[in-house]
Amino acid sequence: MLFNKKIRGSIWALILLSLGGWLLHNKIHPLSADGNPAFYLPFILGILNFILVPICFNFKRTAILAYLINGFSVILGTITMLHINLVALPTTLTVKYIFLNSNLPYICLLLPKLFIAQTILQFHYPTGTGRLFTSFWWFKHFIYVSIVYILGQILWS
Amino acid sequence: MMLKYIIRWRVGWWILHILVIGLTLYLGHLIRF
Repeated sequence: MLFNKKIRGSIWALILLSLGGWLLHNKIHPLSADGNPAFYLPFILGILNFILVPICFNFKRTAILAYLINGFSVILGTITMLHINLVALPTTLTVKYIFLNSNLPYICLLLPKLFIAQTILQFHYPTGTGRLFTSFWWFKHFIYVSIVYILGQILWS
Repeated sequence: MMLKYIIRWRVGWWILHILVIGLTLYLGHLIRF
């Protein structure tokens, strides 16, 4: 069949999550003609994530590439969605706002992609990948990408 | 297979990091809400 039998379920979970996220993006903010990267970036990354990434994940030779594209698109999505909330923060921050009106629900839908990708990587590399791609590695890289993104915002305006 | 090329301090590691840092910096510059 289309994908390796042992990881078929995980790959389909990734495809459906990515497709759902992509459709949600198109519903909330359709692709605009003004060339804003906040509109076209999720559009392009979404297509990559539900077409190219699953195919690459199917083979050991390209699994790392798929894992990195998937992981860094999750990090970038989380950072940009946090950014949207931080620039339009209400004067009084309520629990209702944080859980229902912020981007937290969307971030919660995005993060499982990291864990699903981890199970596929474990299938291709059963003995592990050493110090690479652990939870701490992802946490460190989330901080590094955030710092570089903030530097781009502040220093290069 | 691909893993051996991106182990720390290898050429692939440097290329990947320069690309990703440059791209993230550029996106930080471009994205405005």
